[in-house]
Amino acid sequence: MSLLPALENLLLSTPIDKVTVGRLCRQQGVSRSTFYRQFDSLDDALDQLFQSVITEMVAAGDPWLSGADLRLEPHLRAVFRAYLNHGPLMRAVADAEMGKLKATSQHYREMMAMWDEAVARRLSDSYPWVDKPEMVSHALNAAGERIMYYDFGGGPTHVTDEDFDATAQILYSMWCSALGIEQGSEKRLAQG
Amino acid sequence: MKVLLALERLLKSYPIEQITSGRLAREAGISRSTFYRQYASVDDVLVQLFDHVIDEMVVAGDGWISGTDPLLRPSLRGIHKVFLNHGPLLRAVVDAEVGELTATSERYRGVMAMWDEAVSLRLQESYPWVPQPDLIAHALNAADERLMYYQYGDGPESVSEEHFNETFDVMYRMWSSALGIQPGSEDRVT
Repeated sequence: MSLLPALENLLLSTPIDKVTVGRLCRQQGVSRSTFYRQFDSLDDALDQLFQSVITEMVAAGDPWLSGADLRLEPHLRAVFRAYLNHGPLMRAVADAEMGKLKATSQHYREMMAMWDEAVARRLSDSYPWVDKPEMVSHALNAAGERIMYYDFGGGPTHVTDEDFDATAQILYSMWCSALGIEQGSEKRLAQG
Repeated sequence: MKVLLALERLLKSYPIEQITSGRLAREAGISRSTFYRQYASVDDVLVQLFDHVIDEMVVAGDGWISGTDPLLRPSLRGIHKVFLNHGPLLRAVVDAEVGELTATSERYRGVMAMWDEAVSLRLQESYPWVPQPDLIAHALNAADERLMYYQYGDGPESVSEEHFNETFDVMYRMWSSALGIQPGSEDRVT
């Protein structure tokens, strides 16, 4: 197994503050110099893993974010699914905020800001009746991030389909009411 | 108290990572050695200041949280007001999460967890139709926290009454829909 998948694997059982380069290398039976030929640090390796998950999440959300397909539900769900599939990694990334993994934590903040901006743009373009799109986007993303962190952080083997559906449903209904659309049909709700 | 007030004053003009114990002592008009007799570090001062603000927030939210006032709006608004009044301080507390101020950042996590629990309890008792109250409480608090951090972080002088009202309304509508109540009357939506 190459080192990045091995790191993600190790995070299934070990919190990020207990993961060291030495431990990862011992487990893989490679020398530390092999690691340092590929990465500057553990932070660097974690950051690279994170970037690939972001690419996945952006791909999952892109049809809605870009305005190509305005059905919110399937794309929101796909983003949640991508998060769940990488739950332990994403938990480590969010935890990096608290610790010394500066590159990862910086990218995490940037990613959240990018996400806020993309959602706000979609709201302004496609849901023009939503008041204060930037704030609404921000609040929805913050809620989503925190919920996914707690509910999906254990990864897919810890979350039944039923739990996943329940969590996705709560967030979906929160999005619908903030966007002023009906759940399911996603038609604009009548005013009043 | 002199030192606590001095720190809150400094935070209006400087980010927390630029505030050293020397600067804080100067602002409070005391010597560094007097400072260190009272406090272990800037982190220590920040935690104590934070505790005062949390007391204020708990008082502001208590009507609804304790169940004595069935209306959410006044309590939620009271909490928003307290956050705004202490915006720069609370921004520093949230920022402490990414820095070296471990006492503050630990207290902050503890407070958020306590808050989630209190809201969840209220949901279970007063809004029994809400599915997954733990999750909902958590999502709402997270959204609130992030929004207040960005909108109120500069403090009351930088936020117009109108902007405050708009921000509060975004959150109040989100709470109402998550709780399945009508904004305003707060009757259950059927």
